[in-house]
Amino acid sequence: MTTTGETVSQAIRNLSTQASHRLFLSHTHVVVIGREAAEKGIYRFIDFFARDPEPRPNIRVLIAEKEAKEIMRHPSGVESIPALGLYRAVQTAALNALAPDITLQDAKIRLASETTELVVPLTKLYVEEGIDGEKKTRVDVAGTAVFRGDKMVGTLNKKETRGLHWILDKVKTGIIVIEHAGGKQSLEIVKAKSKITPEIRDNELVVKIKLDVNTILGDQQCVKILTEPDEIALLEEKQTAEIRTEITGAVKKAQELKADIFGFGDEFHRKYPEQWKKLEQHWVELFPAIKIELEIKSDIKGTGAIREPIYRLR
Amino acid sequence: MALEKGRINSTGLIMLIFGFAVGSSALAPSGRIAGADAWIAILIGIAEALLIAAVFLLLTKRFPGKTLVEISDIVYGPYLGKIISVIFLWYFFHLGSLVLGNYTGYFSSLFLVRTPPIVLLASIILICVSAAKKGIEVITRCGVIIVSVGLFFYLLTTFFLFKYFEIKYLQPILATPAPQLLWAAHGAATFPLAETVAFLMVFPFLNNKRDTAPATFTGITFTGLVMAGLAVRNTIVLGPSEKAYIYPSFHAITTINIAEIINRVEIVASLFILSMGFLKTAVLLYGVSLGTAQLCSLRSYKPLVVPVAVLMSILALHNFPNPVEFVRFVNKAYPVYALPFQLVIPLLTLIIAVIRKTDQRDGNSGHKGLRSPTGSKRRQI
Repeated sequence: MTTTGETVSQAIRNLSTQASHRLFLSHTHVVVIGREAAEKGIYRFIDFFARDPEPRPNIRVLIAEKEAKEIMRHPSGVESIPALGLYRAVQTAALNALAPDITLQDAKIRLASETTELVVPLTKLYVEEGIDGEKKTRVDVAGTAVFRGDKMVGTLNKKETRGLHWILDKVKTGIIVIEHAGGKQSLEIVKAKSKITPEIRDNELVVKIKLDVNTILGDQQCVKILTEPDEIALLEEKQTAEIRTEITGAVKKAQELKADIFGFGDEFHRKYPEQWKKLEQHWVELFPAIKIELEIKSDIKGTGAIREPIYRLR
Repeated sequence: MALEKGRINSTGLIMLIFGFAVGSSALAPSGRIAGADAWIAILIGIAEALLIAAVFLLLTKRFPGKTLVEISDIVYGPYLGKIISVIFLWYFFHLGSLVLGNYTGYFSSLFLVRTPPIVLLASIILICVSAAKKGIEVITRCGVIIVSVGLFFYLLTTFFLFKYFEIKYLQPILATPAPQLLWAAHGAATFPLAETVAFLMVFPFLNNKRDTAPATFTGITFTGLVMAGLAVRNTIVLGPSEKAYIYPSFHAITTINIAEIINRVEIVASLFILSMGFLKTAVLLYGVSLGTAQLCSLRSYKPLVVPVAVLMSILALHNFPNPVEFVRFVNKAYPVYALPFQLVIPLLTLIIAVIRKTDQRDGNSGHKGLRSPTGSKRRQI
């Protein structure tokens, strides 16, 4: 069923001409908003879901790359109900730090914050050729929509999205691929812990990010024994470099968009409540000039079930 | 003949004070104008409430076994005393209607949106009528059960919320300007901690009068600590969005979602909050009915319960046009409005009693060896 209206409430009530029952909004799973609408501001869509007592706070909010209606027409994952599929897809993507997991509650908290900007997972359609050769349209959740205020201003790709997750201390697992020894090797993140410390140094704003990452060897494409101490050290170095690229990429993008999606403003507010009154007024100009200092400690803690490649060059 | 024969013990009193004070403040927590510092405001408020309580406890200590109405009669004489009593009874009556209105607003705006408010209100007040008619002993026994189970559930929901806690939302600590913080503290002291002044109608029925002060202080402190805990919980779950909600506790509890299995617990939680509201309304209804009966020297307060309840309900329906108005009243007007009843008049009564040397304590009163004059009357008949 589809419906239109001048406001969300009216649209839902207009549905009564088609639906035989009154809608039970507590079963709402996702709110998908089209990109074009999001660029004009999303608060007008969110308010109803915050105000009405029926919708749950764990509804997932998503931005559709094109039309939101199209997204709801196609199943996502293995679920036959598109909404349920999307609801789970967001969480699974977020588990791998490929899209942020933003519930209605999170969206409300970020919208209520004075400086922290909203981020919302992105969803789009893609065409897939099935094993029977038939072309099927499916739904994909990846990447991040970045907002300034309630207006969407840009997007983060998958790598930048993980950069965002590193900073927010939300990375649970995921794969880091690095080029090494003539092939691509993947490292599976098993633990990640980050800590943000803001600092004011002679009129310069610095954010120190301390990151502690543990990974295990996920798979290797070369046939070299990578578990030698020297090799591990090399891998760790490359892994650290990769994480650094992801974080700086995300920060650079956010600074370009002038959107403090990391909550740096709130961190400064917490640590420097006195200076904050001045900083707050110019935060939009100050945020893009913030310097980032990274201290990454990444260790490879395991190699899976085998300790060396089974196959060696003969 | 005594109007009330029931006796309560000190544990019962502590539990009842807790249920009474948490009752409506669990819906609209006090100290919210201090934002993230609400818990600090509540802690300061405990100190203020204990000072206020000390005044009315000294008063009840001077006149053991006497209710507020009887004390006023003794201190101010039969005519002025009656006026003072009426002023107090009005406060208890108004407070009761505020609590009822608060609960009706809560349930009709969040759960039973299509049910006429009067139905919700009637179903609450009917149980209160039944309890008030049964007397203070029954209310207290209900209180013990409700508060124990309610406290357990409060701990359980807090435990379930653990994974949503973001301690950083509490920072920066003490960012609220001092006047605002103190006003919030005063707000927390007057609503609900010092509302225990209504227990001046209940203290006479404590079986061991020496427990009155310790039990009341324990009750108020314990309530304050639980309220501060609630404020911390709401802040660290809801963050900056907390200030937008009318009923933040509801929104904090709605957040609970453990593996899509343990969720939607807010209904059960609200029922416990409601049952504490029942305690508060029942105590106030009982207090007003008993007070009025003593005021008019009736032989029983029971016939007054239903009329008082009906009037209370009518007032509750017309107090405020919407819940937001109620929150505004609680934040802006109530801390001033409540002060005469909670502090000024009891203090005045105490001072006059000291000056006039009216004292009904053991040894000073005519009835030697008898603990309560109410009891002594019974013997005379």
